[in-house]
This record gives sequence, structure tokens and C-alpha cells, in this order.
Amino acid sequence: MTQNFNETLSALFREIEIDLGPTELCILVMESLYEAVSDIKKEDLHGFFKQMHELSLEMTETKPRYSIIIDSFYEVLKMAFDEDIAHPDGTYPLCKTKFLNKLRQIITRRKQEKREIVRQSERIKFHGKTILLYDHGHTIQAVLTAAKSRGDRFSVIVAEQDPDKTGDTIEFLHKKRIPFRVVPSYMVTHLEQEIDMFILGALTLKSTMDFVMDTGANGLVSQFHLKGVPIYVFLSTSKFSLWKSEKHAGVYSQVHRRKHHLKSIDFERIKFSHDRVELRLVNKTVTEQGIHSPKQLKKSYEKKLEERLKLKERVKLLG
Amino acid sequence: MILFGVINFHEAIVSIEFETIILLMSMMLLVEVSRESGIFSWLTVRMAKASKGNPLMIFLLFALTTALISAFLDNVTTIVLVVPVTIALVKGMGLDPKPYIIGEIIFSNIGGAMTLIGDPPNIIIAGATNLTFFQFIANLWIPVLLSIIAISAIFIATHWRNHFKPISTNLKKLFLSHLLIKKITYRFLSTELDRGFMIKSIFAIGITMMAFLLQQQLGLNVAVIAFSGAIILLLLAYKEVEFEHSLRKVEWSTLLFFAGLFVMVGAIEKVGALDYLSEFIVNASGGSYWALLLMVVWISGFASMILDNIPFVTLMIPVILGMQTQLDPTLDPTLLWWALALGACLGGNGTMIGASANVIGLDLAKKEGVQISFLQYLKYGLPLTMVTLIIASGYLVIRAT
Repeated sequence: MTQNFNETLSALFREIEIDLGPTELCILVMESLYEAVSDIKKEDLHGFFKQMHELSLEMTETKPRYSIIIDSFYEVLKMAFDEDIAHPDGTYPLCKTKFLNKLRQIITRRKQEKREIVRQSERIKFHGKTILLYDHGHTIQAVLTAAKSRGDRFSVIVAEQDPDKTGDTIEFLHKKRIPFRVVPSYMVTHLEQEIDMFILGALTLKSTMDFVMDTGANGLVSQFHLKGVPIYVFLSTSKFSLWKSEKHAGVYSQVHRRKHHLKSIDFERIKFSHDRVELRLVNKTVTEQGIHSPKQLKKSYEKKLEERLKLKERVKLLG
Repeated sequence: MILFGVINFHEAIVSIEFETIILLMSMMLLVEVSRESGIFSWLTVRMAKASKGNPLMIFLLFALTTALISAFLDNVTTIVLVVPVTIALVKGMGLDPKPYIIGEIIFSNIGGAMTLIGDPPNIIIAGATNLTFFQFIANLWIPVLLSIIAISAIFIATHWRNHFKPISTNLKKLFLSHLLIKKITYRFLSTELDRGFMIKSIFAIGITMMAFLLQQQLGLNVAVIAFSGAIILLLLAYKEVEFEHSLRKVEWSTLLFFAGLFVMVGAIEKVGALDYLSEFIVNASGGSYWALLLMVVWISGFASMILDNIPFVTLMIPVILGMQTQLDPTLDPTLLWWALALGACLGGNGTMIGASANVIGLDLAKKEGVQISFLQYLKYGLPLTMVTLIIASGYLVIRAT
């Protein structure tokens, strides 16, 4: 089952992340784990720890890897590990309540992080600005909603992503009565002069100091960095990838054979899951802890990574 | 037929059962407008949640709900609602969705056999007779219920090992199924539900069903009831739906097909061909009523497996009426209608072309990447149809003796 399970899981994560963004994905994943733990029957503590260990390993092998999910699973696994050590009797009954409480805490914290990012974003001046948006995640939607309800008057230029994501963004802006226009990403150059700031979300920050973002983000960020337009990224610190990554590690891609729509020409079409965007290209990153310059964010990342590496249990448990 | 002089224009118009056409049109309107409220998607997602990802519960909840909804709404609509959710859930869990899809198709045809509005053959029978909505349920619920129990038991027994084993001790499977249910929830309920519109839809459907059940007391024709139900919903939901948009959702081509069919059968009836056929069947039964009932059930069953059951039933109406004139007056003549209804509706399960729900269901499955071949369907459809026809036969024989 392992291979199929992991492939299924990876595909499911990618689809949900594309639809809802990584924070919502993590919340859904943790809620699913909560319900799974709640439903599990005839299981003792040791058996549960073994199953939790296996499931956590699956989380570390998805393509791409979602650090926010891995970290959340790790917290539960660590608890299961501690409990298992404390009760070496192989048939010690599983006390679900403890785990369910832990999971509830994690879910609340993830939701709280989003609210904190929105709170931190109050320090950003949106009023009177024309904002370029290349994101469809719920965190940025919450940030814009909060700005609008504070009475800030601003307009948005939506740089098109895939039709579903753009459609979702259009629905949101229309519903919140935020003035907006939509432009294909590759035509945004023609509106450069009007744009006062560029906002987008990120999936994670890697140890190479690259953000992982939606495809197409790298070109736009580079372009507006050159033009000197302030670029803001919204990302909770729980999304940091707290492991050593390689600068040139591959990005997940899918290759399809396609046919020309009129002529009998067969060709290869490649689609990538994400872009890597260098941290130095953005001006500010808004996390639940504050608004950081690239230098400050790097420091914050390194501190968290160091803390993580100190946790020897993790090495022991996750190999 | 008019061009060849078999019947004249006036006779052609007279032969059209307008009650049936209006009943079909009204039910299409009622279902389509209600569907826009999101009520059916909400119901399907609720079922997915209630199953908690347990494969047996997915099968039973979806199949039984399909049977129940099909009894009161159009089978195709029911299949269009349940099949995509089933595939997303079952395929996502790494299971083969084929038995689940075939099961739902079979249950939709079985459920549809129970009521006057459940399946077009019953609507046609009702249009040609004075049988009420309540009479259909009172006379057909037993074979339908027995068929549902038998088919469920056969499915569970044959698929227990590979499909329906509980997952309640497996954390991985439980986790995956819960995540899939969450994905299905946001995918199939992507637009915000309009609670008010949903309540209006439930009210209109509820009041229509109630009126159907009290048809005799109200003294109203089923077509009038259905038409009133559709109009009530359109008036209640005037803010949510555009009347013209709703009218476009009615399958006018299907209604014209029905009208044409009535004209065709009217012409065949006029030349007397159907009288010969009814005489032939009555003679072949050797004077035994139960043998006659069995012949009607099995001929209808087999014919519906390979032919569209709508023209077949339309053609059989005058044949049954002809048989009734030759019956001993002490016998219950309505049993022949129940034999026709059961044979035509249950027989539709036999092959993938036997009923519209089969064709649409398998086409939807194909679009979702699940290919079910003619033989693969036949492997399930044929034996299970035999089981349901045997149940129907047993029931009719007991009623006749």
C-alpha cells in the first residue's frame, strides 16, 4: 500500500493546496487526523504509536513536502513517543482524549497564526494604493478583507494564474466589493507604472533562503524587484522547511504528450508544481511574529532550524 | 404515419397522452430548479460525511439513498448527483469504484420502480390508467424492498473481502478517507449554499409528494399536482432563478420524443396489430393468470434489457388493455400493470443500454477515468436482474393465487 498511498496523498495535497492554499491544507489535514484518531477502534497505545509513526513518515515523503504538515504531525508523534516510553507495557490502552486535545490545540494554533498575520498586516499602508496580487490563498484574502473593513481604499490588479485560482480570487474580490482588474501575468508589464505594491503568499521558506511559491511567481517577483516596487510576502513561520535543502533540488513536474489542436504534431508539455523565489528579491515578509526584512527573516529561520536540530527525538523517530 | 395515411392529423393529436407529457415536464422543472438551490449536492456531501469513509457505509448509504431519491425524482438526476462523489471518494481511497457505480445504477432503477413518478414506464402506465400514486407504492413496495435487500446482500457477500472490510483499525485509511471527504465537501459545495432557496425547494418537493400521496382524496390528476408543485417553486424562488433559464433546463427533445411515440403507437393500435399480440399472449398462457403475469414480467424484463423501455411500455399499454378485456372478471386486472411496471423497470438493469440511468452513469464514470465495458456491466447486471425478476415473479404469483 505504501507506494500507492504516498502517491495518492501527494496528489491530494497538491490538489487541495492549489485550491485553498497551504495553511488551509494544513488545517484540513490536521482536522482529518483528528477525526481519524477519534474514529480508530481496538487500538492500544503501542499500536497507535506504530501507526502514527508510519503515517508521519508518509508525510515526510510527499511530493512536494509540506513543512507545515510535517511539523504538525511531528508534534503528535512526539507525544505518542513520550507516552509509549512512559508506558512500556505493550497492551497499555490508548487514551484518545490526550491526542485529540493536542490536535485541537494544533488546529487552533494554525488558525490563530492566520489571524496574527492579519493583525501584523495592519502596519502596512494599503490606503490609496494599487496592489498587484498573485495569490489565491485565504491568508491574503483575510489581510485584504481586514484592510477594507478598516476603511482603507485601494484597488487590486489580479495577475492571472490558472483559471480556477483566478476565478476564486475574482469571486472573493467581487464579494468584498474591492475594486479590481484582471490581467494575464505575461501582460502585466503594461500596467507596471500603476502598481504601488506587490503581494503574494508562499508555501515555505527553505534553508537555501528560497521561497517556494506558485508557478509564475519567480518571473513577476524578479520583474518588480528590478522596478523597485515593494514586494510583500505573507508566510507563517510554521511553514519554514526546517531541514537542509539543496539549492538546485528538483521541482515536482509532470510531462504530458500533447497534440497540436489542428495539425498532426505531437509534442511534450511540461508543467511544474512550484517556483523557487530568492528571499533577497522581496522587501518584507509578514509572519505571525512581525514584519521582517530578508535579513531578519533569515535570522528567524536559522534560530528555528537550530532549535529543531536540537530535538534529538525527532532524529531518533524520523531517521 | 400521417403521411402514409395510417392515421389522420386529428387522430395523431388525440393519441398523445398530454397528461404524461405535462407530468414529465413538471417533474423536470421541479428537479432542475431544486438542483440549483444546491440541496442535492448538500445531501450527497452529507452522505459522504455520514459514511466516515467506511467502504461498506459508502456503498450502503449511497446505494440506498439512490434508491430512495430515484423513487421520487428522476433516475438520471440521481445518478448524476451520486456517481461523481462516489468516484472521488472511492477512487481516492485506492479502491475500484466500478462495483459502487454499478450498484448505484442498479439501485436507481429498482427504486424508480416503486412510484408513479420514479421511472418513465410508470409515468406512461399511470397516464394510460386511473392508477393513483398511492396505488403504485402500495402494490410495488414489497418486491422493490425485497430486491433491494437481496441485491445489497449479494453485493456485500461478493465484495466483502476486496471492498467492504472495515477500516476502523487502520489509521492511514481513516486519515485518507477523512481528508477525501473534506476535499469532496469543498469541491461539491464550492458555492455558498442559499439556505432560503433550499428551504423553498424542500417545501415545494414536500408539498408535491404529499399531494401525490393524497391524490385520491384531493381528486386531482398527478399531472396537475406536479405542474402546481413546479409553479409553486418557481413563484417562491422568483428571486433566485429566472423563469426562462429554468424553462431551458426542461428536456424538450425528450418530451417531443414521447409525443411522437404516442402517435406511433396510436397508429399501430389503429391497424389492430396490438389486439393480435394481446390475444397471442393470453392464448400462450394457457388460461392461467399467474402464467400470463409471468409472461408479462419476463417479456418486459428481457425486452427492456435490449430496447429502450419507454417505447416498449408505450407499445404494451394497448396490449395489456386488450388482455384485460379477455380476463375472468373475478381476477384482479391491475396485477398486469404491476407486472409490466416491474418487468420494464427492473429489466432495464440487465445491460448497460437498458435504461437512461445506465448510459448516463457509465458515461459519467468514463469522464472521471473509470471505464466500464459492456461485458463488465453485464457480469453484474444480468444475474442481479434475474434475481430481481424472480422476486417480482414470486410476488405476482402469490398475489394472483
